[in-house]
Amino acid sequence: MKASATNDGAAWQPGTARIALCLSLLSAAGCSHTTTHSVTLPQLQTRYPVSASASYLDGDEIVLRPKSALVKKFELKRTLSAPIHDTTETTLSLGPELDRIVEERGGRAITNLRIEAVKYDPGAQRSAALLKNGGTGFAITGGICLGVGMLSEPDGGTRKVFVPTGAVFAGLGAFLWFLAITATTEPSKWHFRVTGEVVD
Amino acid sequence: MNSLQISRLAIVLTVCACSRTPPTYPGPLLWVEAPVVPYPVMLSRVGKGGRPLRAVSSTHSANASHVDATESGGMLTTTVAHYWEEEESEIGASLKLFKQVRRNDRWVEVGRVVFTATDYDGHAEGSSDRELSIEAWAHP
Repeated sequence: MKASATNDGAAWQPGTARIALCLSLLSAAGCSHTTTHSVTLPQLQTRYPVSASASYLDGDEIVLRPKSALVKKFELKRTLSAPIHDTTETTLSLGPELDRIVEERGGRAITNLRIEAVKYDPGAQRSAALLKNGGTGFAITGGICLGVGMLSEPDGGTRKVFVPTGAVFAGLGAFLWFLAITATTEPSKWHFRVTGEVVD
Repeated sequence: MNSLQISRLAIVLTVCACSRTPPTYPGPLLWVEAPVVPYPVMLSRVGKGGRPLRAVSSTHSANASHVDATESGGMLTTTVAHYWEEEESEIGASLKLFKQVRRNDRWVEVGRVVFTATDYDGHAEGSSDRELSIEAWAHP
């Protein structure tokens, strides 16, 4: 960075500019934020048989095909949340609710159960990543400017331009990071719809 | 490079990061169902054993923007030069699972279902993946 220690900004060497640009781009490329949200539906531990098809097995492993006239339909909705920029595993628990539905409707089993992930809302994943990436980019740019300014001659034009510019960018970077971790924290959400038929 | 050029570079990098658009998926996203198969597909516990089955389906979306920078006569020019986007999807996990069931299988017992969403955001690129995996056993 010796080439930058000249009298003023106009004498900035093109090679140094390329280095600064490459540093900025490489630093920016290192900004990555990932949210992984897994929802597990374990095998149902229900008192009544639950089948995804129109037929089901009773306790003696006999296949039963209920008549459609005895069907009582139901629908459930579930939403599971998880923090952004993290890896989270949650469990979709349906067993007790399905048992309660069968009991309330006076049935013997559930058939045609359908579990739909109707929507996944990533929450503030992207906006928080943008703020963090922007903050990092501004902070690195500010750091480079401050470094160049501090290495230049104390009374030269380079220092007068680069030190305040670097301070502004570094401050802006810190502000964007502050916004990211305080204002954009909306969690990610899996939205599920469960439909089925209680049969007699 | 002066302060104006540095400012331009920082702004272009920010604009580049903002140029990505989130993917839009048709609904419902992923599902577990078996409305037409002639055998029971039990989600509740029946017994142990059986032939293990596994099916996975997923959707993938990715896009990115890229900054080109050129320097000539002390002037630094930055442009958002490239933008690409790709999306992939495949057939549902339920259908894949039932294709593994043999003629002599009497019923299927579903063991574990996992829905996974992964969103990645880099500076100027990102991706979104949604996956459904189903583990089951076929009982002859």
